Parts: sequence; structure tokens; C-alpha cells
Amino acid sequence: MVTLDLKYSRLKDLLGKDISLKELEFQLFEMGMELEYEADDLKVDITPDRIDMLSPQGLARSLRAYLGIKKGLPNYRVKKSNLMVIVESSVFKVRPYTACVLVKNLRFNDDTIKEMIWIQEKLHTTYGRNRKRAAIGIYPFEDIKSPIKYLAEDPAKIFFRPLESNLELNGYDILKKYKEYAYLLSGEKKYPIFKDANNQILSMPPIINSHKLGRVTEKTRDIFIECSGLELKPLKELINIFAVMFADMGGEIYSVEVKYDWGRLISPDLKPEKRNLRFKDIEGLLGVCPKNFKELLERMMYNVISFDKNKIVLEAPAFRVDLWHDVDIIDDIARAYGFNNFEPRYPLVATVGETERETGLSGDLRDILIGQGLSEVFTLILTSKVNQFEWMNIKEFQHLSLKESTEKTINMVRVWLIPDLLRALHNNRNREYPQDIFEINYAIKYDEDSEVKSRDVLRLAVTLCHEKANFTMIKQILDSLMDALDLSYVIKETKHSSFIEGRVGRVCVANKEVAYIGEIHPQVLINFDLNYPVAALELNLTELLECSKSQ
Amino acid sequence: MKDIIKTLHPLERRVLPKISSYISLNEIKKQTDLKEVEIMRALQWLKNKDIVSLETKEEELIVLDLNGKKYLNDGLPEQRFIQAINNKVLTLQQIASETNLSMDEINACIGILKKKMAIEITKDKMYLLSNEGKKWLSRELPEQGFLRSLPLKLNRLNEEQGYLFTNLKIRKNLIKIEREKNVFAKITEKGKRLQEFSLDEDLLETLTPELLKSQIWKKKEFRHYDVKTDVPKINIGRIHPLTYTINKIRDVFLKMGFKEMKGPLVETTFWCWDSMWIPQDHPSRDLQDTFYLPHKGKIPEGLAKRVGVMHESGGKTGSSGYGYKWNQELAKDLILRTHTTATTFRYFWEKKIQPPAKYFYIGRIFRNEAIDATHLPEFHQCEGFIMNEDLTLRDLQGAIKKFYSLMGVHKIRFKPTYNPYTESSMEAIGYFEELDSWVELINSGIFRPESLEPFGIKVPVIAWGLGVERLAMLLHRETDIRNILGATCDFQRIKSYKLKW
Repeated sequence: MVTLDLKYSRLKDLLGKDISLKELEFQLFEMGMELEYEADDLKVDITPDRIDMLSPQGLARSLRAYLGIKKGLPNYRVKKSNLMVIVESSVFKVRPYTACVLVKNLRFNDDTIKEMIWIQEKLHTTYGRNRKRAAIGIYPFEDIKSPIKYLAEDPAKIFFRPLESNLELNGYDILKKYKEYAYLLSGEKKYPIFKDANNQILSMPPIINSHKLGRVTEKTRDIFIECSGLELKPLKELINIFAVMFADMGGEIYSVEVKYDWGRLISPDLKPEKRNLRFKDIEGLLGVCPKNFKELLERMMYNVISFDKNKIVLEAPAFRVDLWHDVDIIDDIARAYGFNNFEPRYPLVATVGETERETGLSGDLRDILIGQGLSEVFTLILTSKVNQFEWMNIKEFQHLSLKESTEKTINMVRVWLIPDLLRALHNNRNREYPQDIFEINYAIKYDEDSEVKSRDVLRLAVTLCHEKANFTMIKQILDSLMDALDLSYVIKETKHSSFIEGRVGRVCVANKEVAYIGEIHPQVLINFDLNYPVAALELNLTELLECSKSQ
Repeated sequence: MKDIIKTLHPLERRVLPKISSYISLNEIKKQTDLKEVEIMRALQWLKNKDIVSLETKEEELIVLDLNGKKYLNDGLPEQRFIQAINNKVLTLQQIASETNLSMDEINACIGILKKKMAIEITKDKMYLLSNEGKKWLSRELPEQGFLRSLPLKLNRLNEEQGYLFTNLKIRKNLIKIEREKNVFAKITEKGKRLQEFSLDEDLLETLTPELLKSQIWKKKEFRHYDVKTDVPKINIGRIHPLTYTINKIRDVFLKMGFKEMKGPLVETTFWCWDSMWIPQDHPSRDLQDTFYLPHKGKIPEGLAKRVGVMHESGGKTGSSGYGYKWNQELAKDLILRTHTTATTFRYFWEKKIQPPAKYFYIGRIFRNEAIDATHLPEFHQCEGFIMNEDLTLRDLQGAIKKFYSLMGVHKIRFKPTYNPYTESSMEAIGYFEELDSWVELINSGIFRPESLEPFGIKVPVIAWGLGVERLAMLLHRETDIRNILGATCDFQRIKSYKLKW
């Protein structure tokens, strides 16, 4: 979700109609948006596919059609300008593409300048993917001399005064100063710049505009907009969106010729896209074909040119970026029809319900443990090396660690469950004893041969914690489980430094080692700050299931 | 009255006769050989039956402090001072070595004894006893007697005790005041009448096997219990509230004829995103939002090619595609899966699912988030899909409606939304009666042609999913997700959550 902030009064002005907040909230909901409001301040949550609505003008444009104030395709005239942008091959390695537009006869005031900058930033962070995919530059056109060149130059030779800065700096220093997006150029031999016919630098995309040529003021009437990036498609889309937005602000759109080595691009291209929509497909997706499809389409800013009994011929606006497939247009019909106006029907598809074997086994074992007065806990798979190894008194062994984590207390995926149960006991030291708990859940094992380099292992862990907890009691629980599973087992003496020496065993079923059982080592209890002895058991259920499959 | 007598517990029978008009618990203790807890229980029961009334009073008690205890044994310093001089004339050093007192104590003694006019000091600083002082050679100082008589109640001191208390109070760690709670019982009118009856009626207490065999029970009556009285809570075992919620959801899917799925927690980005037409520069793929592992996985080559075409140009679906160059290497990164739909697409491929089919999955997913009351880096998602001919938006709405109603939610609203891999997409907002509010819980959609085409699926697939912890929080009225999942749980809460029935 992307949030558009705007004033209620401004929206009503743009709509040219009064609308109550309640009505507005309802209509936006039906369109797929959410509204929050406080006094005159509106916050509209817009889905990221509809960036054409990410401006007061854009939202009002869609609403005017949806509410029937001005239905159909909004018409935008594009005049030809003499402005030319020449793309030199030097930028191909760094930031190869640009699309541009010229808008004339605008009137700016302090508010509209702020609004413009706000929209520019919003689009940078969303559709522009933090300027990586696309960066937008807006310049007062009055001081710029055609043709503009888009080229890459040695940073040492780039020299200009960045926007709102006092000093002239070279390319390297500019990158140092504007760190946020510096990673997009760092390491490059040459940095991209826009330069006019007088050799004045407009900007160094995607970092910063020049103060001299890249600063829109209340006196500005005509603006030049460029959009640069790594793929051409999103740039053309963004330029279209900006063009119609400024046109809605009262400007006149002029096209710019962008000359590449491989040919030329005239942008913006606001020619509506002609599409055919089959009635069969509408009914196929929606389960109904609304008779008033023409009106519905017009309320979503389409023009219906013609239709016969099979299909509709329509025109779609050029500023929409989300019409990849016919289903996207059909979905628009549904939004105009109202998602809550369809008649739901339960699909009569006869199939048989079934659970995974692990689910059944976990449930059965859970019942047995609950029957013995144990309580279930449900802990996280993500944990830390300190918890899994160091506090458990054992050496690190192979596991999956995380590359990066926002939560600083985690850095790996757990390999066993007992440490998490001990943590739960630690967190409940002030609660009543005895504290006998269990968990049946996953740990993840590193596995070189697996396509995902790992295997999920379902494990069952039990810890008994009270004054008298001991080996006998935990073995009684193991007995009850094995007896219910109808498995015979042997316990081998073993060493495991999480447990007290001489009070730990390896449980084997059909010669497979499936569990550890024992009394937890006092040092481990101290590490987890526990005051009572703990007897514990951890059983590998995945291994058991495999045993039983092979039998 | 007889009926009441039948309900009296043996402890009550022993305590009741001791209760005069007004008596403290300590007094009862002195008069019986019962433990304090036993008397307290008996009094509580008697109170429940309106036989006594209870009153708790706080009393201030003078008790020995650290030094007081010492001096009670060894004698007060001034007493020892007097004994040391006896009939001699001594220097302070001599007295100190004789008495084993510290110089501080010696100095304190001089002050006290001077005040009592018990000592005399010569010009060359020698010490001897006055006539007054010699009296105390054979007698005990009143202060010493006071210490021995402790504990005493502060408000019950006589004049002399009051004087001694004031003197001793200012000396270091001799005595201190403790607050003591004492319970007083007072007989009620009903109790008075009851006391006139004999309480040693021969009633049966515990029904033992011997008793059962002996047939004595046929001749005698059992003591009656006060069945209304509260009993202590027991320590019970329960399944975790999250398991409870998961079981509820699984039940609903099973009732609707869905088959359970299971897939790996670690996934390639291919299965998590690329396979279902989520573009490679989608923001959720950022390192800040997803847990990446320092390994690469393997992906099916042929399928990957078809998926790539879908991203670039939309293939033969009639879609424009995203119009960027798809990078197969990026699809091999290993991550902790961010949604269960990864498993849905694995099933499309690995199980070659044919229509009609209905599958569901309840599984753990991961997001790179810091832990707080509303966020955990992992939680559970459930998801179900139906694959069949002619499924439409109306069928999806019908299926969700059924699902919700089996969960006990009967009023719902749909809101269109955007998911990269479904079109149409919608949220289903349910009205939760108990909460009296609309809750956005389910996200759903019809899989896009671009996401199904590489798998050769020619029929519609409708799907919906929801966050399990969120539902668990709603069901159990919990506001902190850390109480629902993680070692941060509270055993008390786990054992006391309410059933939904």
C-alpha cells in the first residue's frame, strides 16, 4: 500500500463536486482503496499497481469517472516541441535510458511546488524502486537551451552546484555528499549527466539536480521533465503519468524527441491503446457479464468504440501501467460493478479431505502428552547461536545462518528444540511449579544434497522442571510415547555436554538414533538462569516416520 | 442446626469451642495443638457458614534486633562494665580487655552509667563503682529484663516499659518494631446457638476401602461438605492456543473436502516469487524484508525458462509481460519462505495436480522484522485453493463465504485489491460479533494466466489465505502477538484460554 496525503477541500475542488466523507469512504472502498481522515486531512491507501492515482490530480481523475462526473477516457492533447534530447552511447553502461516531456504554461505557488516534490518522491520510492529503476528530474525550461545531451562523464570533470547547496562540487564529492542513493553509481568509471546546448549541467541522475537549472520556483511557467533508468518501459510510463498530472494542473503537454543510437523515441506517447475484450472472457472471470458493460467501462476511464455479440473494442488510457492482460480490464469492470453486488455461489467441486501424516502423528502424540499433565508451548524457529550452542554447553555444528536480520536477537535457524523450551521456562520462573512442557515442531537441518540445501525436521521435545524432576520421570514419558507408537527401543549410554554425564542416553529404534534423553547439565541451567532441575527428551519424528515407511 | 453440624470439618469442630466472644488466632493456637494454616482454614470455613466473623488487625510488635539478640545472651555492655569493675579501680583499657567490648561500646557505657550515676571517675582517669552502681552487681539492670520480655505489643506497654522502650529504641540495632497481622474471630449469634450443641457427633470423614468393605457406612452418616466453597486451582496440561486455532482452521478445510499440503520452509526465490509472476524487482524481495541464506538452491531448468518468458513478454497468454530481462541466477537465491503460496506452486509442478482439486496448507512463514507487540519475524499463514473448470469471482466469493461461516463469521464484505499473481484480487472483511467490529482477515484472488501458463494449467484456480496468529489473537482477545507465538509465552495464559464453542 502507498499512502496519498491530501486535503479534503482540495479533492472537492478537483472533483468539481461536493461529496460527503462517508460517501467518499464508501466509493474508495468499492474502488479498492482505504480512507482515513481527520478534519481536512485525508490519507488514501492506494495499491501499488495504480500509481497513476498517486497524486491529488490522479485520484480526482479516477474518481470523476467512477462517480460519473466525467466518464470515459480523459483526452490529453500532445503538441510537438522542437526540444531534442540526444542520448550518447557513453551512458549505456551506467544508466542507459531516458524518456522526457515538456509542459508549458503552468502556474506554481508554494503549495503546488511542495505537492509536486511530494509526488516526485513518492514515485521515486515506489514505482522508481528507490530511484534504481527510475529517477525523475524536473527543471524550469526557461534557461535551458536545446538540444539537451544525456551522457556519462569522468566524475572529476563533472562540476556543478547541487540543488539547495552553496558550493560547486565535482562528481566524486557529490556522490560523497548525497549518500542515500550513492550506491547506484559507486564503482562506475563515468557518471551520467544531463547537459544543455550551453554546456550547463542540469543534473547528475539519479543523485541530484543542479541548483542553477534544476530548481522550480513560483516564477516557473514551463518545465522540462526527464526520467532515467535501466529499462525503457517504466520510464515511458512515468513520463506519461507526469504529463497528464501536469496537464490536469493546467499545463500544455509538448512532446520531446529523444535520439538514441538505435533510433528515436517521441515521448510522451499518450495515444490510447486499442484493446479487444471478449464477452466470453468477462463471464469466464466474473461469472456474469454485466449488461451495462459500456457504462461500467466508461466509469473506469475506458472508451467503448464498438461491440458485437462476441467482443468489445475499447480504448484504454496510456497512463495506466497495470493493464498487462485482458483480465486487468475485466477486473476494472468488476470494480465498477461493485464487488459486493455479485451473487456468491459455492463451487460444487467434490473432493475428499485428507491430512498429512505428520499432522495426524503430531496430534496423537500431543494428546498423550497432554494426558500426562504437560502443557504445550509454541516457539520460534529463528534463534541465535548463543542459545542453540553456547548456552547449551555444546560446540557449534553445521546449521543455516541468516545473511541479515533486523531483529538483533536472531541469527540462525534452529537445529533443536530443547533450548527454546529452556527459554520458555526461564520466562516463566515466577509461575507455579511443576512446569512440565512440550513442543512438537520443526527444526531445519543443513543438507548439501537437497535442492534447497536443507531439510525440515519435525521434532518432539519435553522438559520437566520442578524440584524433583529426574531421569526416571522423563523416561516414563518416553515409555508412554513409544508404547503408544508400538515401537521398541534401546537406550545407549552416550556423552552429550548439555546433559549431566552418566545421566544421558541415546534412544535407538531399529538401529536408528532417534532421540536424546537425560538430565540437563547444571551449567546449562545456570546459563538459562533456571532454579530447578530439568529432565529433558528430544525425539526426531521425521526419522521415526521414515523408519516406519521403510518397514 | 443439626444440618450445619453435619457439614463441620474436624478442624472446625476443634476450633469452634475455643471461640469466645473475641479471640485472636494466636490465642487459639496456644489453646490447641493445631497449625496456623489449619486454624486459618477452619476459621475461613466457619466464616463462610456465618458462624464466626473475622477481623484482621495489624499490630505493632517490639522485637529484638541484631545487637539485642547478642546482648540477650552475653549481657548488656553496661552490665558487663559493672561486673568488670566490681570492687576494683580500673583504667578504660583494663575494662576493655576484661569485657571484650569495643571502644565504641565502652564509650556508650560510660554515657549510660554516668546518667544512672553508677560510676565515679578519679582525677587520673580511673574508674570505680558508686554506691548506686554497686547495687547492680547482684541485680539485673531493668533494660536486660526488658529485652528478655520481648516480644511486646507496642500499645500495651506499662509506664516503666514505656520508659525503657524509649531508652533502648535510640541505641543501635537493639530493638525494632515489626508489624504483625493478627486475625481475630468473633462468634456470631448463629455461632453462639451452635456452641450449645454437642459437636462430637460421630460422622464419617473419608470413604476408605476398609470402610467400604466393613459396611459401617450403612449405619453412619457422612459429614456434609460445604459444596459451595472454592477449591484451589490445579495445574493442568493443555494444547497451546495457537495449535487450538490451527486445529479449528484445519477442521474447516477438511469439512470442505480439502487435502493438506506440506512444503519446505527454506525456498528458492524461484518458488517463492518468480514462479507465480512476481517481478524480480518487487520490493518484498529486498534484503530488508526477507531472510536470505548464504546458499544457492536448484530450480527446474525447463520450467524456469517458461517462467522467464512470462516475466519478459507474457508468452502466449496475451499478456504484455513486465518487459524486463529475467535473470535466472536471481531465482536461485535461498530464503526463508515469505508466504505459503510457494508450496501451492510447488504442488502445481511436483504433484502435477489435475482438476478437480482442492488443497490447503497451514504453515510457517518468515519476514525480516524486529520483534514487538504486533510483529514477529515468523508467523503462520493458511491458504486454500480450488482448481476446476469454470471457476469465477462468484465462486471465490461463495467459497470464502462458506469458509468464514464455518469459522462462525456470517457477515462479510469484499474489497478489491492488488496481488501480483492474482486478478481479480480481493480482501474479505468479516464482521466479528463478539468484537462488534469488521476485521480485514482474508486475502484472495484468481491466479493470473501468466502465473498458471508455465505449469500447463488450463483451468481457473481460485485461492484465499489468512494470517493464523491474527485470527488466534482475535479469538483469544490477545493484543500482544508475543503471547501467541514464541518462548516469550506465559504458562498461566496458555492454561487458561477460553474455548470457542
